[in-house]
Amino acid sequence: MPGTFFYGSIGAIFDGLLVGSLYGLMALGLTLIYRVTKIPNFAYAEYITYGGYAAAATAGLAAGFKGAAIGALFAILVAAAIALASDELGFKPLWRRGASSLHLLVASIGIGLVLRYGLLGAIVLFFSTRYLEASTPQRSVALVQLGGIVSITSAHVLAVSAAVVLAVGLWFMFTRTRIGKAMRATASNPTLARISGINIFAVRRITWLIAGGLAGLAGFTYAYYNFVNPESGWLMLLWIFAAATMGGFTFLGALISGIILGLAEQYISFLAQYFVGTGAQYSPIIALAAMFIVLLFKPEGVIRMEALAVRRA
Amino acid sequence: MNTRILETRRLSGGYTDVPIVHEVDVHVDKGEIVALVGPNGAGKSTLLKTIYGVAKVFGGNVIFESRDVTKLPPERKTMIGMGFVPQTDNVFPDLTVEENLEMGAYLIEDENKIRDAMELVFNIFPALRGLRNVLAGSLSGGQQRMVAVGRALMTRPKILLLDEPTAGLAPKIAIELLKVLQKIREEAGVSILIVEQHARRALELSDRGYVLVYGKVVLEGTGEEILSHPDLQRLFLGVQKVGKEG
Repeated sequence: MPGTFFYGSIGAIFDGLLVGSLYGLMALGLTLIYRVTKIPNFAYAEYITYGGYAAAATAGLAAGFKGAAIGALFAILVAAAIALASDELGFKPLWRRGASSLHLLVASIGIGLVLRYGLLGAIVLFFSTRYLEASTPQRSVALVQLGGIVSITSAHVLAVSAAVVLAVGLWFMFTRTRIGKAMRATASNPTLARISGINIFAVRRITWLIAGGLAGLAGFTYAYYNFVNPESGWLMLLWIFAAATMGGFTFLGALISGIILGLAEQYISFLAQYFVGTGAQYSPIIALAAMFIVLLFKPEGVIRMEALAVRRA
Repeated sequence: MNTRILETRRLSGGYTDVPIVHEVDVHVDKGEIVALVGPNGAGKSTLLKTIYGVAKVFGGNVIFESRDVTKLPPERKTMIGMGFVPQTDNVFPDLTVEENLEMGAYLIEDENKIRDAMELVFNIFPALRGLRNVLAGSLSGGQQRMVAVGRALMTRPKILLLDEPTAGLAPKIAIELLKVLQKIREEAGVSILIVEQHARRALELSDRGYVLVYGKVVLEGTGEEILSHPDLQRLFLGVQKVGKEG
């Protein structure tokens, strides 16, 4: 079958774009939190999981597109609320007592554990099972069929367009808008930001709401083409961190890195499957290897800090 | 007195639980430049920080335009017409010069007013005009100080608190910067309370001054009065000479 490899490759590339855009979308929120608060937030993955469940639980309230929109909205609201709560109750009190980024990183692992196993515990309690997988009742649909096996689905369109629009949107916000500049000022020198009249606590809250909202949208997208379980976000965290780190904690960098990682993961898995018949389980190694190589040769990430782009503008 | 713009009444303040500034009474009248001088560790910077709400107030009051503002947080003080340039970390290093100034004008909604304020700053510090798209963190010490003062001027404050604006600068640049302060008073109508290491330099420029030792005001008067005071040398003795240092 001469066409199998060709169509398989195309399929892997499209799936890589879907998964990669999703990693990029998730890495955007992680990047935003890190840029403004200097917290490498391991609990971020859980906001995605909660978003996914919120979408699955509410998308059935209406049929079709309307229900999907309700699911997405609830996913965004729930994840944003949990993100904000984790800062108000966890990170902010520690930060006010002078916690360093390392302290906050450890705290984020703790907050992540509480969120993850809190959810798992609730599922066991109410559904008497550990394995309640959930998805939105509306499923991703094929929009274009290629060669009978490859399809471009509505999830592809959603993930890629959301990631691109939001990455550019966040870049624009950070470099061109008043609130974005206030976020950078707060990160750069919080005391001087206050002296300048910036309410840094309000800026911080807005940051967490946006970052949580991004996680929620990612959670919805995941539940739309896949199934969420209590560890879905946690299992993607390595990829999300790899994308954010490779991207040099810039928004456009996170998007590009996420897509590179997704493409590498899917295509190399495909090659292994095609020629060896196994190997997909090794895909996390690709994330680590890609991150290692980028950091070795370009420690600042795949693109330079956006602040420097302003200088040339 | 109607012309009094800023006043402290028995103000005590510090950082943890030990007051560094003890029951200090200082005031600034409209249009005045007032210097706070004294040896290292006398609490000059702490006094400014306590006034602005960056350090903790332990007792006493801060009165701005006949209003008690002791408990207002820094962002609110900026909102009502005060301005503060800290001694260190006084720019946003990751923001461009223009963005630093924009952040200074964060409370101003009107784009035209922001543009006017920026124009005023560029007139006072012409060197900044060509550097507007450069990151503040990559500027020289003197240029950063201009950005720091410029940022605080963006809201057109009625009073500006300056914490050692010349620290670490070459003497020639330091003197230039101090001359600019007089220009700021005249062109922007700003009263100034300035902390300076170089007592002579500061007092020559100021209308009045206070000498602070161990967190207390020990001497006050016009620049000339303080500089010719027989006890001055003794008060600074062993810590710092009053003369043509640096």
